[in-house]
Amino acid sequence: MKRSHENFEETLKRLMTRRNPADARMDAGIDKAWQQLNSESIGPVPNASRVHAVRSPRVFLKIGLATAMMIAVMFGVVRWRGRAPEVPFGETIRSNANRVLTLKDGSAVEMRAASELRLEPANDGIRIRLIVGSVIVNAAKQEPGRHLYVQTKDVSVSVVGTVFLVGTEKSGSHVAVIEGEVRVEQDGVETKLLPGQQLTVTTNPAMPSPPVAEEVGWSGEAETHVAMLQQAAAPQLRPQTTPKWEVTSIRQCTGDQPGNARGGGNGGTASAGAMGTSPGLLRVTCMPLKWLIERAYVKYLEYDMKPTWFFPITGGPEWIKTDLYTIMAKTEGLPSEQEMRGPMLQALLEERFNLKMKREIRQEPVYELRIADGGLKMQPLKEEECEAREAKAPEGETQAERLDRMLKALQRRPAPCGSQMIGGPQDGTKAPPRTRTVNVFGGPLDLLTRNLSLDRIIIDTTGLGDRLFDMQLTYSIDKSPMREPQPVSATEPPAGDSIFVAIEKQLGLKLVPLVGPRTYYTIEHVDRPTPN
Amino acid sequence: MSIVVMQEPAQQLEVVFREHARLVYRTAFGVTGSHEDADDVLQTIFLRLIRQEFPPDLKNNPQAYLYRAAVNASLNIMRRRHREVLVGDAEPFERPAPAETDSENSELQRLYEGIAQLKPNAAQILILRYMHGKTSAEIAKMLGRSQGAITLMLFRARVRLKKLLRTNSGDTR
Repeated sequence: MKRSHENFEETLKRLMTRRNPADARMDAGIDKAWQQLNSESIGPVPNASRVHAVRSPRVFLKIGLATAMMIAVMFGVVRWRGRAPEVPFGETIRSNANRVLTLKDGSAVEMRAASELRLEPANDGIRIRLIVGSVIVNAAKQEPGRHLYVQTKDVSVSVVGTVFLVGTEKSGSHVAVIEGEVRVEQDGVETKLLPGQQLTVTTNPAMPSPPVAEEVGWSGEAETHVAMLQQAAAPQLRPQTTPKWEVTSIRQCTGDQPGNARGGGNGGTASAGAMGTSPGLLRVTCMPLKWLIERAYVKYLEYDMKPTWFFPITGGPEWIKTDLYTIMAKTEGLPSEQEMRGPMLQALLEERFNLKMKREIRQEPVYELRIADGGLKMQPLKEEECEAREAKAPEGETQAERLDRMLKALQRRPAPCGSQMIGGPQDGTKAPPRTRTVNVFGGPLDLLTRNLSLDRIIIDTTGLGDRLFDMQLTYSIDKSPMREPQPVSATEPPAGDSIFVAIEKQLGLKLVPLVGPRTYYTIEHVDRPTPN
Repeated sequence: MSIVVMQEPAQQLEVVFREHARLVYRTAFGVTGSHEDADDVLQTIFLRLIRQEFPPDLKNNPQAYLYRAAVNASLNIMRRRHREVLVGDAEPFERPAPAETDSENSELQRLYEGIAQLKPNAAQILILRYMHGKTSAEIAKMLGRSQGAITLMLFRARVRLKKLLRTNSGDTR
């Protein structure tokens, strides 16, 4: 199966991308399936003779926005596609009045009057070279590995989202996002922009930077764009059709302490500081309101599963952390566990605690993780190494034996892939006092960065996200900017290197302080619960 | 893009179908190599939906639900084909299997038979990665897991698959 020069991953890529269904035959198959569904009495279907899956632009915001976005974007796509033929590469296009172009990939480009651009092929897609003026791009969903770029003399914008504006004039260039997410590269520095955000690169400090809503005023779709921006500024945090609770009961909990495990488990009797569900029932035992907000909003909405401290909850009085509540809620019907713990719990908190939440993106100091100039000082693990570290499960193993086997495996060195330990070095060396060591065995960089406990979040731009490494990093808690202030020792002087020196010296990585986006959840209003 | 929840189940199904039919079809064709099998997988999955109430997983994340269904249904076809080849007297499938004389097609056949022996999560992640070209971050988002977990699972899946392919081919090195 393997060609002599190929590794296994390359073989998989080569083979598994070989089969591509012919478009015409696939369309016929999809139509046939649709006819079959139609004949099973699902109701009359418009345009049943030809049904294609809609090219759905990728959106950054969650399910609560789907209605407005789908209408806005589909409206934009359908209408713009109706206006103009495709534009060939290499041709310079000048617009005397607002006009719309359709690209080969289905993207629509609205040009402002007196703008000029040229289309060029990129290695991995299409590049729009904006020579002068402004464009609003409504990007089609890109095939895997394909990208759409907009380039001016100052910046290069790559499309991750859908609708954004780029303008250029002699003194500089300007990028603003209406919906989705774009990455802007300028002089080797990459910035991510989210809806409503903008970036200006200029030699003229007086170059104006009006609000995005004003900037799109010239567009034929200005109303739609402004509606999208308003949605982005005040996003709906849950779907409009959230199932309802039939009855809810909240009482204050006295004498119990919240448990260390901050909520988990299903059904049965929940322990203090826990949340459990069973069909049609949610049970919360002695939890502070802040934890409930974390679960209902942060955990539900931030589906990329970063730790919840990544998304600070601000505002609200002190009692939301100290007063404990026990909640029993029974549903109408049988919604899923995720619905009960997410949007339904949001609705309960909003109704019974008069809670008003706002989700917003703020620009704040972050660290960017990069490969140091001297290069990486660790080797990614080979495929076979993780397998060799796994302790094999014998036949007929009981649960207790399995637990015992796994605990013993964690004590072996190297430990199984995915293990992480914090404290001292695990390689037998002794660390200086007042230092902290993070050990990761066969894990991605994400396992290291989430355990460093620094004062800023870390955004990984190394491109090593898919590699697994054995990592041991020891750094001084006195010389590093820690998230929690460290008690000063009267007897032990600061020792060891700061995190910035240590990470470069020991691992060949670099932490660069920057300003970047971070999502905040703000409590705008909250009251003690209304009576049952 | 997330599903738009509308009033009528028929309309909900139409939206889901329009959004995700291609993903289901491409996945099924990529695994089975047969348009007829891909047709069957697509019809079976959606017919099942209109005959039963929408499962909660579909409402929460339709793309992930339908993709998993496509992978499972397609790998079931591969497992059936493999059993029918092993049982010498069985009636051949009506649909043509990939030609034995085409070496890359038989490579693919062996590969997907190996993938069919993996755990469902591992098979789904491998196909998302190597057939559909998704990054670990995209797979994590789609399947609701952390990127670190996906990276580890991919690693382990490749190791396991390599071992299975060696065992299946009789190479025990």
